[in-house]
Amino acid sequence: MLKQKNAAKLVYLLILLLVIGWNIAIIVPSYCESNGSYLSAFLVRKIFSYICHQKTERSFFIWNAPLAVCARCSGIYIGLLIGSLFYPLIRSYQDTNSPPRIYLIIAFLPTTLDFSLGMLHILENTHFSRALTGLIAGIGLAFYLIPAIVNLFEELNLWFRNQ
Amino acid sequence: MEESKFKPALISGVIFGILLSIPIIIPKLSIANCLCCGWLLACGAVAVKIYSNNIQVPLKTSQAALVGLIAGATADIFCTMVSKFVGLFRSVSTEEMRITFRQAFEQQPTLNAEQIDQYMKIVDIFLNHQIAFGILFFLIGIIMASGFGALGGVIASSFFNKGKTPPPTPPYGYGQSFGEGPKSSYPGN
Repeated sequence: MLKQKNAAKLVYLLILLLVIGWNIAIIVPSYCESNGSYLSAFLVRKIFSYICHQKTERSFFIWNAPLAVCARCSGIYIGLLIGSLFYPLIRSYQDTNSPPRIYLIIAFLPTTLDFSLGMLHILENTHFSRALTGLIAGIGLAFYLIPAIVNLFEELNLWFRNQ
Repeated sequence: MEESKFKPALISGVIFGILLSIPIIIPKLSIANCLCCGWLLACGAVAVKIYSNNIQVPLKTSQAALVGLIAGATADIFCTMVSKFVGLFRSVSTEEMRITFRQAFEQQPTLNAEQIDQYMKIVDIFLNHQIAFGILFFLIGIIMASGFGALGGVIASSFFNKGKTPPPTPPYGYGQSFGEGPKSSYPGN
């Protein structure tokens, strides 16, 4: 039992480390560009280009250079980090049952509304609205991602033991 | 018989590959880019939904991750194929690509002339080794797409399992006394 708890804790810490690393990677191009490391900035931006449109006018700036992802994606990833940090205070990382799906829908509702209203030109969204609604979605996402990945590692662990 | 994981993954991969290709085929519809990684997460989730509809037992998270991973990779491969196909018709020369890159950098308000020159040197390196970097970026794309597809699949697995019950466990010692379990009583077998 203790072994299982430790394994779940280890997986949680691994996820946390990955999320921290991912959030650091977002600001790497800005830092590199301000320090004259243009190749690194270019490569990291290229990697993130597969998952984000990276429009400058929709991105936050640090060190007078845009981040690797847009404001909404930045909000989602920072939210994911906040959610992952507070996760053990709210749920046990051994619990592999995800919360009811309605909470994920609620978490993604603000960002969906913000995106849809902006696209239909009903209400122009701002950097702040994109990031804030993304943040809510990211926090919610953490509570579904962590139990699912812990469960995945448990299954893989069991599979390797049976081999 | 075990249900194939490839079929749902390929169906979803091709559907989302088409959706991801829209901004490449019709640049005016670049609004589709705004969903960013959401397309890939949805690709994995849809593949898992199709797969879970075809099986009676609860879906394992590892199975969902695998289905999502294949779906994400398929979507990326399909999208790359479409972009290469479209590229054949547009046949842009290296010099034209250089000009496009320079224009894109010049539109960035934070970049000064010196920084643009630095970026153009990097662009020149990539343009001089287009095949090598094309393969490298293709592989990076597959890794990113399959990773996000797997995440979509893993998240979706917890949703689509609800309401499904695992099959009853066979009684203890079932099939052990005779070695192979119940045998057919048909004559001649």
